[in-house]
Amino acid sequence: MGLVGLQTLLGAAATTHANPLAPKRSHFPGTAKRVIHFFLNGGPSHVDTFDPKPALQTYAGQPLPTGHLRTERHTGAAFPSPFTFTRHGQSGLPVSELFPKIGACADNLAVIRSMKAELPDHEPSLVLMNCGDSILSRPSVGSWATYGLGTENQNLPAFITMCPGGYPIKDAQNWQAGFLPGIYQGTFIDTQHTEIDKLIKHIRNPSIPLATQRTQLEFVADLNRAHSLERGRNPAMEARIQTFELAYRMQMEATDAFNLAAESHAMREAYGDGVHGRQTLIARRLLERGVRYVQLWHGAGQPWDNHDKIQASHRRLANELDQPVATLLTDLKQRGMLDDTLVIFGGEFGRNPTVELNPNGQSILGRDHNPYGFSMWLAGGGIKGGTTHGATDEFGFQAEKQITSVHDLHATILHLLGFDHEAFTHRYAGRDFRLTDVSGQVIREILA
Amino acid sequence: MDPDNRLLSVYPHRRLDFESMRDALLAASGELDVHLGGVPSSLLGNAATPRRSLYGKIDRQFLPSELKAFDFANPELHSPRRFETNVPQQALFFLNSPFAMQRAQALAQTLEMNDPRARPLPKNLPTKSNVKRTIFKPIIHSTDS
Repeated sequence: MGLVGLQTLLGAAATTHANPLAPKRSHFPGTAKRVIHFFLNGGPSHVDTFDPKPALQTYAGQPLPTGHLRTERHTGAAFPSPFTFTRHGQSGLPVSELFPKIGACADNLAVIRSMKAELPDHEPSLVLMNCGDSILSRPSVGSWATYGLGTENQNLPAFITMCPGGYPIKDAQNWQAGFLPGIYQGTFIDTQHTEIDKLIKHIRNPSIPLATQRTQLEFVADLNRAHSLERGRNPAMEARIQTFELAYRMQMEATDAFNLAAESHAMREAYGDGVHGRQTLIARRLLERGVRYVQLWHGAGQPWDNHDKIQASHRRLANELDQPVATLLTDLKQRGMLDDTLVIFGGEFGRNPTVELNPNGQSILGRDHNPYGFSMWLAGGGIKGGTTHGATDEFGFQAEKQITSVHDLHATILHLLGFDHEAFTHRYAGRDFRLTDVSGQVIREILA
Repeated sequence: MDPDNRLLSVYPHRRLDFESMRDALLAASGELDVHLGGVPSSLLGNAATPRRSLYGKIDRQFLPSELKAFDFANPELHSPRRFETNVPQQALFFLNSPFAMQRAQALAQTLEMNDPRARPLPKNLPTKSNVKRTIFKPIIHSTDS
């Protein structure tokens, strides 16, 4: 049958009957074959997690000498971190007491302290971080990754995003396919559910058992073949017939992938029995099974958006993530998967080093949004561990040294996956678009 | 003779878009409501009506994933042409979705022996009685609505 030959002829063109998710070659061999992105939606405070700022203590309770900082809401005096920073590992990377277990993995982390986004609000920052543009509708990073690489396992969705309890702000736009074919959109899974039928749409037939369905499929395949013969061989028709076989297999494989009972009790305990432990363990199973891009959100809405009472809230949120994330890093390493799995950790922006005030000018013990300088870390997949990149000013307000834009981050992600971000394009509306639009440079300093 | 149909010996195959496909399913089961005008209604789900897909309500922030799977145009972008992908999520819709199953039930309930919509089965199929038993019986006797 000529279908295989046809696929190689047609290459990356997605508007054909060839399988849009067939594995494809990148520009050059990448160090990462898959990506997992922990998205701390709402924006975690960098001065309380990965960017220690002792100078804030010097000015505690007083206005900063840099004058009134341009913040979205009213902010007041310097607000030193209530958390202690400790140096970890051989590298001595400082991590706050909020993430002790992630801190123990410090020698695997490359912390970018000089991230810079564009606008101080969630919606534009979310789509900038996920899709490369603050305003316009563009394909997400996961969509570009699956468009470029396809997937190793045709029996599972290639790009999966998980969030317990509903959607984050901006809903499905965070993982949208934009102007790429709809199949590259992330498959959203609400991980508050545990039954497979609630996790993936139409994955199970409520009235027909698998064996009967098998007979149905064979009958339908016979009908399709007869139909096909009447009209002459048609690769599009054959591709369509093939999707029924894939769907049948996806039913079984997805059910298996999400079945945590298959993991040992010790493994489930290591990840933790909360929803974050559960979804992280599911993520590892998906990555093992060839899923290309997994994005894990913290919760519906914007949980990390702590304008008030940040000490208690950040502690609670960090406590939910610390163990699962650290266990994933260790687990991937033990399975020999860390070297070719890129782990990304961060939110859409950071938070101010000055305390937020209510309209009456009183402190509400929280922090406002800060896109001007914030932290993220990367690990695995060809990243150099135990290192920091860039710096914010002495108070942690704006990125100062080696300022890193979101396009720089995306250029680096694509580079690790084996793509030259300037040459990896898709023609739409008469223009060759790329994830990094017209700017962005690979952050070579953090490559292993 | 003309395997790639370059000489247009037969009319070229065209892919039905989602709206036409949904209308075709409703027409096949005899449920399609063709009256014109009125307020839009949901295309899928519990609030769906059997109206033509033309009257479907589109919420660009919450576009159902089925529409995405069937290459529905992104409402936020200029889309001169739709993609035509073949993916298992489309097949899953036909196999397991409540929408497809409800259409099958509706069709089974109205079908009579000499219904003009019925076509004879191709000759080289597995025995017809076996097929009828295993495939149609669960649909006809299912208590799902």
